[in-house]
Amino acid sequence: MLLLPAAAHACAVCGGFADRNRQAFFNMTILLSLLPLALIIGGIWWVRTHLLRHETFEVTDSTLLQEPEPSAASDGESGFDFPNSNPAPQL
Amino acid sequence: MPGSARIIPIRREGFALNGVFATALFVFVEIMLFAGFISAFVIVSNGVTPGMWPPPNQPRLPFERTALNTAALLASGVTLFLAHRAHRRRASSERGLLTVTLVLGFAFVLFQGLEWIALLRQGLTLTSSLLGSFFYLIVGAHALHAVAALAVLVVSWMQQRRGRMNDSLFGGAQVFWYFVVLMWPAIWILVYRA
Repeated sequence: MLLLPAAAHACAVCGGFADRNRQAFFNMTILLSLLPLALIIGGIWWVRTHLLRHETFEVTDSTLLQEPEPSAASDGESGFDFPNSNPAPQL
Repeated sequence: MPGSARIIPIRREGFALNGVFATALFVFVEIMLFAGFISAFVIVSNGVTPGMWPPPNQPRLPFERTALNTAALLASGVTLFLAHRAHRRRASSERGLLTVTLVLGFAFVLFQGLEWIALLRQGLTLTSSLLGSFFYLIVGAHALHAVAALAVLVVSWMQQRRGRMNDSLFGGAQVFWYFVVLMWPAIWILVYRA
């Protein structure tokens, strides 16, 4: 059997008694292999299209992000910000 | 960094309605289910002795008569699509189109049932032959899906009548019905003509 592997016709596809049967096996194998791939790729494309369509962004005003200038009352010795002395910028 | 603008992504809304996404996942699974059924049918029907398919002592499947049912089902898909567009535009024709969709869908299921009764009387049963087994399995599974999809569409229709239509439910009902509509021609051509 090792020397003559072609003699074993146990496979339903290769050893089918009719061309029609072999062809049907082949066609359905192709269908069942490609169909889930097509569904997955289609699903990923659909999700990605909808994600890009619904994504929104907000651009902040750059002036609001500037560091506040130190107040005249602060001598810088303690390094603490006392309440209401230098309120943080409101975004 | 002072003086520089930052782009902050705000919280994203869902990319699709929950009902639509969930039904789409379900439909993917059901597509593979029917692909398996139809593949088994095609392989078995091509594996019998030439001249013995369809089985000689079994009634022939009514391919031409089922063309009317098929047309009704396809028309219901079109009317549902038009109803969806009317819903988005808040048009008054939405209710009428949804009603027509339901009527066509119920007509399809009813006439398929009458067809089954006729075939059973002629001797095609689940156990009479391979043809009978596959026919009732595949067409029966499709009928089950059609009935379930119709039930969801009826709920949407009732919500629409009360003016409280749930977009997520309606979207899911549409996905389910489009699947039922588009699966049927493949079954009709591959099973009825085999």
